[in-house]
Amino acid sequence: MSKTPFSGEKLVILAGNPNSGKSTLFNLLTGLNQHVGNYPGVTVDKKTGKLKLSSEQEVTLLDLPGAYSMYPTSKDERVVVRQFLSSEQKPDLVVYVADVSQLEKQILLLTQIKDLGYPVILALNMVDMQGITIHADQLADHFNIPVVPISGKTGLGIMALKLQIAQLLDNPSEHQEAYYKLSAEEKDITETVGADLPSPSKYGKLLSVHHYDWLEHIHADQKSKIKQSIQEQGFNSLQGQISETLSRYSKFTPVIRKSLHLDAGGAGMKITDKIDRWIMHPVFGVFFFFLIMLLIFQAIFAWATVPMDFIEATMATFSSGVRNVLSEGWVTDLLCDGLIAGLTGIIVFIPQIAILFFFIGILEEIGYMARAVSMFDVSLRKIGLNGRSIVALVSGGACAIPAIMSTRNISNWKERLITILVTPFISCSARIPVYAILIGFAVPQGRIWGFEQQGLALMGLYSIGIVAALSAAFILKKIIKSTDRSFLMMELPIYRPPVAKNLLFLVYEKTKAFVLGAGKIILMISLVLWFLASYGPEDLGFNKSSSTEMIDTKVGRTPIESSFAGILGKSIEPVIKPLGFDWKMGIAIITSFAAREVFVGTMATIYSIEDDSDVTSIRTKMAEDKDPQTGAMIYNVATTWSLLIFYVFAMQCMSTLAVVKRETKSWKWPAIQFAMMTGLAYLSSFLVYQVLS
Amino acid sequence: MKRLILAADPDFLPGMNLTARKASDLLPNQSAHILRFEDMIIAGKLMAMGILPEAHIEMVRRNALGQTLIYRINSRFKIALRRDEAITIIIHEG
Repeated sequence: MSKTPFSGEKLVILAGNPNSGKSTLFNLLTGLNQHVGNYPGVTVDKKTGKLKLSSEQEVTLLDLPGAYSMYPTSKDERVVVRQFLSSEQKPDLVVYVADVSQLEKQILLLTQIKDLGYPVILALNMVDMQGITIHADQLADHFNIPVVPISGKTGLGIMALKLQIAQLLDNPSEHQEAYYKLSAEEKDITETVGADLPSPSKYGKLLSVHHYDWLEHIHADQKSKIKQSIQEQGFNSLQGQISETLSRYSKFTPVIRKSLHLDAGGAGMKITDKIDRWIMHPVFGVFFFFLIMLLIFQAIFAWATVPMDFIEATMATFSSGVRNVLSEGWVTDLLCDGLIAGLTGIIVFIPQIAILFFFIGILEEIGYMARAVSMFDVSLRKIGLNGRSIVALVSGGACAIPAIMSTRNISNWKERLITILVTPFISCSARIPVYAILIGFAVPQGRIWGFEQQGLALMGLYSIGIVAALSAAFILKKIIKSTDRSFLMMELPIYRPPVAKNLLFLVYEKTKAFVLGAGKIILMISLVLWFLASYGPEDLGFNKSSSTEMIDTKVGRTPIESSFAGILGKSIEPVIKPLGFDWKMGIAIITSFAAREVFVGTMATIYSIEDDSDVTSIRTKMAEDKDPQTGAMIYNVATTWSLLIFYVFAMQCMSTLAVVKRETKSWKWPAIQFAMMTGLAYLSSFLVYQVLS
Repeated sequence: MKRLILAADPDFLPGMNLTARKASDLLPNQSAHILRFEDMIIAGKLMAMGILPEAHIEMVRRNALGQTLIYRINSRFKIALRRDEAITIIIHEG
């Protein structure tokens, strides 16, 4: 839900086009004093912060998503219109940010917001750029609003802007004349239905008529009345939107051309063109993209392992410390094996999330992302994805969690959803330990055509994951219905150096969103899994008489075989037998739902190996394991391939499901994703086992 | 999709010029001016982004086998369009 500011505190909205430098200004004005929430109904970040105007005056600042006009074409873009027309708290003031080098095309929305009757300040951003001469006073005269030249980069004009905000909040300007005069047709319709519409301004009423269909604050009976009037008067919404837009442009364009002088090719355009010649080259550009992604990938693997190992080691030390202090018992077990282990499972993802978003942030900030998106748009659109999906698909090779979190800026809901659903098919780093321990049982060492056989098999597993992701996308494209039309129409901004502050905020925000948003679910599931693996019916007083011959190395605790997880693993044996799995694998599949790499740890526990990092011992024990009846090897080629394929496809990651729940705002999609992936895993493993055995 | 005509020139009659040149017909480094748009929704979006009738439009490059087209508008900014978006922009020389 949206966070409403304290009662009595004034609300200032930061609005503007994408690429206007709005977010940089927001970070500059609020500092760390910001909060990221969600707009109801959509997953668009709602950033609010406290802006200190003076020692005694503080206001709430809301950073509205970048928009071009009050006529949105996707569900995500609608939040801007809703904020002005139907939100609970109306803004007291709007600060409109515009990039001065693109002024002519960034003023349309300003005139629309002004016509809604809100006091507006125009903040002309990037005035420190070379080759720009601007007469701010002429703009102030024309629009009849205060104009403040600023620079989000150097902090120039920020004090003046704050003063202007404080001043305008204290003395709101008197009622202003509408910038756009409604046509006769528009006047007719707003007068017919306007009396019932809550908006105070005529333009607000007109927009309500345009968007009545999806504006929640308009009641059903009002909606039918508007619909009827639209039909009776033959009001054409699209035609109206276009003539309104043209009329606004024809009014402000001459004024801007007069008051702004831009040197030809200035403001970084020449350099941008030079870089684009290479970066957007049909062949070299694609090569360059994969090179960048490879570097990011390497960085995640190389840099994340150090903090990840550190986190795991520290938490293990902490856990054994707690165990030493507290007496033995279920409370200690709950704390150490349940709670601390669960927390470790959350914190351990932070390095990967932080590193990935740091790089995505840089690519976004410098303006490269728009280029990458435009390059992959065509090929990915054919299979129901979006140009932006490429980032999620590639990052999915490291970890699906930050990859899914990075889909937020895909504005088409269907394309975004498909990206979220198929990304976990890409083999992530957590599958590597499983592949590594099993692959030797499926493929013997040796070379084929000079290549290491096991390496080829590993590559094959990765390729299967990629093919599955792309095919699933293609199928989902046919199944999922959507009313949103898909567009590319994307500005390619000039290249700019990244702003360090923006990057830090992005990394901080995404990490926090993961820990708070998905952390609770992960913690809960890991507690349940801990309980299932540590306790059995005996502990709860059932079957006291039955004896287990197997002795766990960890004295005094229920061996995993007779725990609930063990019983569950054994009871699903009939279901997994056609895949070639025995009850031990059943237990491992159940426990590794927490995370795939838990498979290795569970195998260590089952085969009573104390140190679960001792992969060689685990592999030896697994290799020695024989069927008690037939004496055949358990990990034969058929079973191992079946198990490998199962881990390629199956949704064995509670953290991913928790993130999908957070990003789609319902349990429906993670449930569908689980059914799709694990269902495919079951079928494929069945086929593989039946063919090979 | 309902096709409606939006003309820069009010006297322009729809359907007169069947061989109208489209922005997608431009070759790299060629330029023209926008005459009108043939898809109202795309027109609304393009206009909000600062691409209006009479604007100077220059093809910068074609990517992805000509399916993604990069244009420079009024010598000021670049935009990437899908081919099926660019095809709705009718242009005229000069």
